[in-house]
Amino acid sequence: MRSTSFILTVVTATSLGAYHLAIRRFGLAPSSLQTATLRMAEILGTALLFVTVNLAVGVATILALRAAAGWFLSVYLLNDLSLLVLSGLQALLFDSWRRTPGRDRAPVTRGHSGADDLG
Amino acid sequence: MSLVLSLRILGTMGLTLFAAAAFTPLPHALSRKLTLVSSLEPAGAIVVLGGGGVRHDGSLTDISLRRTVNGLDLYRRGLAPLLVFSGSASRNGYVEAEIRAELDRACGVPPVAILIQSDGHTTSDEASRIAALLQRRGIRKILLVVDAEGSRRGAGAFARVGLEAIPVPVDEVSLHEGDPEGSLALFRRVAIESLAWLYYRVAGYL
Repeated sequence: MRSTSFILTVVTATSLGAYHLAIRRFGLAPSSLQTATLRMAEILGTALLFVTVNLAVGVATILALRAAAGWFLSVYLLNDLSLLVLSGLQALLFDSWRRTPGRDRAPVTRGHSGADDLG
Repeated sequence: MSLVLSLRILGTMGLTLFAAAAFTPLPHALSRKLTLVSSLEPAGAIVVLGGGGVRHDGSLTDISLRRTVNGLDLYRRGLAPLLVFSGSASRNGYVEAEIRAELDRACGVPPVAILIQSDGHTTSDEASRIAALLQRRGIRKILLVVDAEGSRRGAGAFARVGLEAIPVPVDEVSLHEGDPEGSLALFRRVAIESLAWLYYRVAGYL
């Protein structure tokens, strides 16, 4: 069996198990799964944003150091899996933070209330 | 468009891209697009580009070793009388090009058939320095041992400095389909190389 099929089979089986457990044991509503899926997409989007910003800042820093200091620093320094993991953690923390009640001041927005903008 | 909606769209695009990269032949198709394949023919020299460098214990990385062995194989097949090894010094003082040359000498290649270039850090830099080295010897055509996805960019960089390069692509990532981790690694190579190719185009190195 190819590993793609095997992995997808295992993940599908555990997802179905978790779905039944969530409904029967924890009393979660099937209809709220859609909201949860959208929230997952939101966190993933935030993570991608952090990855992009981290890469852009990293490349800019390396190019600036090359130009300013005159010694070579490889862009491949950024080719590290830990950058993806850390960006994911940044996104999770940011998402948890913005969902935690309590703000020091209202968010700065253009035209309308920022509360809607931030969900 | 609200920030939340933008993040959701971005996240959905990311998820779709992940699924396509891990579970479909997309990375392999993109890799084939980037790889420049030419038929092998005799040349003035075999140029083995630096890649991966040297590990902390002084041994070559897998990528570097794979390219070195490939260069040796081409030499043994009589495709060129000269082997040029590229590769700069690592932070702990080991020089990739020197270790590669030492390995090939140990495999029976005569020292006069080996040249080393250890100052270039980028492909464009390596191309300029190696061209200066080879053009003094009247060499105009080379076999270029390079990673598969980087073959188009590598050959272009050498063409720009006046050397006709016949790429000999060496896969850095196994091309076995149906292995999600391998597919993701290949997709990462394709993404990095596409950005590098774009940078070379914009910077005028191609």
